[in-house]
Amino acid sequence: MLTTFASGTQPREHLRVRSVRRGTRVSAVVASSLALTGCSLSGTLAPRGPDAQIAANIWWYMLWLSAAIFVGWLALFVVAMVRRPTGEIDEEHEQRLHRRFIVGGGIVLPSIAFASLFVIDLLGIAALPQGDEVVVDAVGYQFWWEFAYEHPELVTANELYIPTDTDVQVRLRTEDVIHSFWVPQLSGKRDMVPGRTNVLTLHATEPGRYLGECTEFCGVQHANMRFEVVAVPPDEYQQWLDDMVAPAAEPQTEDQRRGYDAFMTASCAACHVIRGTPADGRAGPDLTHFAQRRWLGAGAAPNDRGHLGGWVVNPQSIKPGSTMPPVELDAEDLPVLLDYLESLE
Amino acid sequence: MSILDPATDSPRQVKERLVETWSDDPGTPGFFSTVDHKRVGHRYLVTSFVFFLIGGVEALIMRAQLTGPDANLVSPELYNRMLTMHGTTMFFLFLGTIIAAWGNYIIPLAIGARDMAYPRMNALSYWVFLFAGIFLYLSFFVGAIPDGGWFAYVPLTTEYSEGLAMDFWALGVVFVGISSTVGAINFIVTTFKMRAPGMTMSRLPLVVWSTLTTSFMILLSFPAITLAPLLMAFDRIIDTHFFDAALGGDPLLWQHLFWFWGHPIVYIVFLPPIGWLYMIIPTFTGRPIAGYTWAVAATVATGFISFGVWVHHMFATGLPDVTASFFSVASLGVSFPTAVAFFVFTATLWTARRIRWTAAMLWAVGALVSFVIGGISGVMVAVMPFDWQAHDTYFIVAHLHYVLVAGNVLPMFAAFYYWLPKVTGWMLDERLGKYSFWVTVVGLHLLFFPQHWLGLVGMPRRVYTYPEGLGWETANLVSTVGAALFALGVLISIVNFFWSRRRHVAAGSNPWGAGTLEWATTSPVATYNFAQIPTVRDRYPLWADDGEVVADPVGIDPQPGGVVLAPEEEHHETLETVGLDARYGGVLEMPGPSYWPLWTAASTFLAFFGFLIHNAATLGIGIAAVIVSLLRWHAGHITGEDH
Repeated sequence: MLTTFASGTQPREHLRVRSVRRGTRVSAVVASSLALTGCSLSGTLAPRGPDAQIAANIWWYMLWLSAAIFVGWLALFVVAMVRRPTGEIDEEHEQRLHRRFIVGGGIVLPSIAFASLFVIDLLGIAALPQGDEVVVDAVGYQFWWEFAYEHPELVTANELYIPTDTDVQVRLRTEDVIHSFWVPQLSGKRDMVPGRTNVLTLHATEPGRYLGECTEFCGVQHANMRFEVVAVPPDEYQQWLDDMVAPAAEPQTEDQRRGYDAFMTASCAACHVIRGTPADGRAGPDLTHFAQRRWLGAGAAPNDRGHLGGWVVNPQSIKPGSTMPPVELDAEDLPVLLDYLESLE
Repeated sequence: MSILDPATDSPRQVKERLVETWSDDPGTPGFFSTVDHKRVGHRYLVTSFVFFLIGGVEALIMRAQLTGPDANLVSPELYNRMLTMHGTTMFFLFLGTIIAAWGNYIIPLAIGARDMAYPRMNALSYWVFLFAGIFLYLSFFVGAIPDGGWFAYVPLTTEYSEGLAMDFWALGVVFVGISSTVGAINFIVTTFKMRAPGMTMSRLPLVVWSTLTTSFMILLSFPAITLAPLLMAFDRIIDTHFFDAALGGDPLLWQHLFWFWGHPIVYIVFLPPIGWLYMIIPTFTGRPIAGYTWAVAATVATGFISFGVWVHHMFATGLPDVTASFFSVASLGVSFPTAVAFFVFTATLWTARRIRWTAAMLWAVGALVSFVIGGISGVMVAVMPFDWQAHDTYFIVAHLHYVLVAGNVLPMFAAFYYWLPKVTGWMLDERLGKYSFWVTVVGLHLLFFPQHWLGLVGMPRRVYTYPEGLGWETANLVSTVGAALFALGVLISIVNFFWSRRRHVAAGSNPWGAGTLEWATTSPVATYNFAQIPTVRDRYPLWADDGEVVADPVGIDPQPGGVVLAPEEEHHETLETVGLDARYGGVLEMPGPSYWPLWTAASTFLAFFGFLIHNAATLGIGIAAVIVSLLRWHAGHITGEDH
C-alpha cells in the first residue's frame, strides 16, 4: 500500500481511493477492539484527506513493525533472563554468540527498519498534496484565528470554509507570537512564525466540520485556541462566498436597533468590524456574520444566548487572559445587544 | 611519594597519616571548604533529588488539573508556571545534575583515584548548581515565576512577556550552565590523567566511558544554551533585537540555538544512566559485559549523532523539505547505536549462569524494557509526515517521558539501590526496594502509555484544560491515576531510605560481589579513597578469572611495597598516569580545602542578581567579587602558602 505514494500518473487519486478503503478496514478492526474501552478513532486516526491519510498509513505500518520488533526483542530478553546455561564456560563460544547477538540485533535489525522508514519518509513527503486551486490566508492572534478569502473584504474568525476535493493552499502568518495550525483529520501541522509566511495544503475528501487547534504554546490561553474547518461541496462553497460577501444584515426590530446603538456607543466598535456599519476596529474578530458561528472565543464556549451574554459582560470569566476586556453596559442594554448580535446571520 | 617500607612504617601508622592528611576540618569550616569528591557528590545527590521531588510535585499539580475536562483546580497562569518550572527544574536541576552526582561519587573510585583532577573546580560546580537553583526558585518568592515554557520560544518570552519572570529563567539557565561546563572539563581531565596505573582505555569501566562522552557533548552543546538565553536577556533587558522579526532578527534563530543544545542534552542525560546499567547488570549476572568494544562504540557514536538531529524538533517550522529530510534520516540513524546497546545487554543476560534478582537489578531491567518503548516512538517521530501529525501533541509527551524516566529516573533508583551502601555504609531494604519498583513502574506505564493515544486522537501539549466530548477523558483519568502510583512508588523508596538508615545493616566493602574498583574500598569510603593506589590488570580487577571475588581486594589496606603516597608533610597526593595505557606519569600534588569556590559561586549569584534587577552597581560588585575570589583562590596555590 505504501508504494502507492510513488506510483501511477495520478498518484494522489490512486492513493486516495486505495488507502481510504484500507484505512477504513483497519479502522474497523481497531475501532471494534477499542470499543470495549469506550474509545473511538478520531483525530489523526480518522483521516479525511490525503495528507492525513499518508500519515495514518505510515503510522499503522510503523505500529505493526515496532510491535513486532518490541515483542520479538522482549521474548528474546525474557528467554535470556530465565535460561540457565550450565557446563564449562567456553569463552570463545560465548564471544561468538555475543557478536551474533549484537550484529544481528544492533546492525541487521535496525537496517531493515531504517531502510523501510527512509523510503517511506521520502515517498510520503513527495506524495503530499501541494496544489493551490483555492488560496486562503490564515492569521494567528493571541488567542484566535482570522481567515481571509479571495475577496478583499471577506474575513471570518475561527471558522475556515473550504471546498471539498480541492487543494486549498493556506498561507500562514501571525500577528504576534508563534502559533501552529493543525487540523488532525486533514493534514499535519505547520507553524505561524513572525516575519515568515508558511504554506500548507488542505484537502478534504468528505464534507464535514473538522476540529482545528493551535499546537504551539502561545501564552495563557493556548488551550482555548481552536477553530473549525468547514468543508462543503464546491458549488455550496461558491454560494457561501457569495452570501458572505454581502454586508451585515440591517437591524429589523426595535430591540435590534437599540442593540445596534449600544454596540456602536459602547467600546465594541473600537475593536470589531461589522461591514456595512461604522464599526471598523481591527483588534478583534470580524462580526459581520457573527450569528453563523458555533463557538465563542475560539472554542472557549458554545455560541448561545447564555454564554454570549456572559462573554460580552466579562470574557475573562470564560477565557481568563483573553485580550477582550469586560464591556461596560447599562443593564437594559445587554439583552438588546444580544438581540442585535444574534441577528447577524 | 612514599613506597611503604615495612621496616619503618607500619600499615597502621600510614593509615593514620592518610586520615590526618585527607580529612576536612570538623564542623562548619570543613563543611564550607571541603573539596572531597565524595562530599561534593553526596551534596549533588541530595540537591538533585530534592529538585526531582519539587519538579515531581509540579507535574502532579498539572496531572491533577488534567484529570477531567474543563477543570478549575488551578488557573491557566498557575498551570503555565508549573509547566515551565517542571521542564526547567527537571532538565537543568535534576536530569543533568544527577549524572554529575553519581559521576562525582563513583568515577574517581571506579578508576582508582583519590579525587577529581580539579577538586576545587569540583566544589565550584556544585556551589554554582546550588546557587543557580536558588536563583531560579527565588522567582517563587517575588511572584515572578517563569511562564513561557521551559523551551522559552521567542517572541512569547521576549516582546510578549512582562515583568521579571522570564529574566529569572534566562539568567538562571545561563547560571546553571556554568556548573555543567566546569564539571565536564573536570570529568574529561580526571578520566585522562587520574586513572590508576594499568587502567588502559580498554579497561575503563563503561560508566566512565559514558560520562566521558557526555562531558565532551556538554562542552560542545552548552555554549548554545549559554548564548541563546543571554541574547534573550539582552533583548529583554537592554532592548537588543536578536529575535525580533520586525527589526531584522529571527525567531527561528532561538529555536536553532535552543535545540542545538536541546537535543544533545537528552542523550547527555541518558548516556551516563545507561553506563550505570552497564555496571549493575554484570554484577548481578556475575559475568563481564558482553561486547565491551561494541558498547563503547555505541556510546561514542550516540554522542556524535546527537549533534546532527536537532532540526527534528523543528520539522513544522516551515524549513525546506530537503533540508529537514537530512535531519530526519540522521534521527533514524540513532536507532543503530541504541539497538547495539540493547543487544549488548541481551547478550550479557543470555550467557549469564545465574541472575540475582536484587532490587537494583529489578530497577535496571525495568529501565531497559521501558526505555525500548521510548526509543521506538522516537524512531517513529523521525519520519516527517508522521511527525507533522505527532509534533507538539501528547504523543511527544509520552515519547519524551519514556526516554527520560526510563533513561534516567529508573536507572537513578537502580543506582541508589546499588551504590548507596557504598556511600552510606549500610544496606537499603531489598523488599521495600522491590515494592517501590513494581509500584513505580506500573505507575509509569499507566501514566505515559495512554498519552500516545491522546496525541494520536488530537490532544495538543501544554494545554491547561480540554473540552468535554472529544474522547480524551478516559485516557487522561488513567494517566492521572498512573501519576499517583508513580508518586507512591517514589515515596516507598524514600521511606525505605529512612527506615534502612535506622536499621543500619552494615554493608561491608563489597556487598554485591562486584568486580570494579569502587568496591575495593571500605563502605563508607575512607577520605583518602584507597590506602594503596591499585594497579589494574583487568576490566574487573576484583574478579578472578572464574568470576569469584578476589579474597583480598586491592586498595583497602596499605601493603608493603605498594604505592601509598602518604607524605609526612600532609600534602594531598595522588598518582598521575599518561597515555591511553595509563603508564605511571608522576605524583600529583592536589589542592586542599578552600572557601574560595564557595565565594566565587556566591559572587556570581550577586552578579546575576544585579543583571536581573537592572542594577549596574550590584552587577559590578558581583563581577569584582568574582575576580577577587578567583585571584585569592589561585594566589594561595601559586605561592604555596596554602599547604
